[in-house]
Amino acid sequence: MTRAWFLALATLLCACGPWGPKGIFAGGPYLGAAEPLPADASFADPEPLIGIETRSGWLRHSVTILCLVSEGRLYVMARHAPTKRWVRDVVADPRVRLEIGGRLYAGRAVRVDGSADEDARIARAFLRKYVGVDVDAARFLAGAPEAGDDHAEIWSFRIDPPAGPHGGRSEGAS
Amino acid sequence: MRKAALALVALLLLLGGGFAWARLLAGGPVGPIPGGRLHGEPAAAPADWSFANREPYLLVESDAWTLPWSGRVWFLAHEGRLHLLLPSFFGDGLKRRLDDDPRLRVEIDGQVYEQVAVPVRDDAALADLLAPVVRRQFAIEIEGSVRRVGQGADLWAYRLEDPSPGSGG
Repeated sequence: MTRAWFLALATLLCACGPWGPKGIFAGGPYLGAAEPLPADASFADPEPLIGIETRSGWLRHSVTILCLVSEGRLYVMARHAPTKRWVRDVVADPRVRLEIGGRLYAGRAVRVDGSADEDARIARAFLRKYVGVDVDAARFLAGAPEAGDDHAEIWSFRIDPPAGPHGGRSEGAS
Repeated sequence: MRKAALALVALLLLLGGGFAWARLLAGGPVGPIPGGRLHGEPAAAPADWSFANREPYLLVESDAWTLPWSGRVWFLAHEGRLHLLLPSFFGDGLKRRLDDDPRLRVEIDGQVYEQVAVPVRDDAALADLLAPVVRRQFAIEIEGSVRRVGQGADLWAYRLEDPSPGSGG
């Protein structure tokens, strides 16, 4: 009987991971070692969606997200950000692993909320990549929407190479 | 071993049954699983849809293919008209359904409205929609002119209209 329960539990756990998100379904940790995210992340720009694995204590959570590259730096963003688990995770622990084109990269998520230039640059890059338009000028609306305003609350994060010796080379799955 | 096999079969049946219930009988999408036929009360479409903007997503059903499909999509009520916004990076499943049959059922507050999705292809009309759309969906404020870059992702826009007699695919 114990064996039956063990197998049933193992099947259930396998349905939740441990192999990253599957389409619209969130997943657990990615299997395998990650290399540090290169300083020039331009290779990621053609990808419409990438996977991100975040940390919450000893748990790992992974989802697919939007991404863009501007001036060689990789950015990810969340709509309705405060409600997203991965956003809460990276605010508490910025270490992330990204699945881009079938390869794993380690990095640190740094929230973009100060530089107007950087903000305007990624807003325009976002529109070019995901909406297919170029505009004269654009900027993200800062902060939570006020009462009666129905715009989404967007938070953007720049993914820097990981901190630490050797840029956090070959961070493992756990 | 036999008990283990039975437990596995029971678990798979439970998961499969749950998915089938969500997909066919739940009356709408359940989490990330698309749903089937919407269960709301049929209602006449209002003249002004602005009230819908309080919803973050619009619940729609397409019956274009064998099984009804329902899901939550981006939308905007602009100048009183309801518009669907389908970004290509979410896939083109609903767009392909609308290509085959533009009729849609829309559910808001338990009321179901029969509508027809008309593609917005005119550049001027799309530009007119774009500023409020990107403000609502992406919190981006646009200034100046808008130009299509003609590469990469796209945003398919549809205006919803009352069905005329005999309309549809």
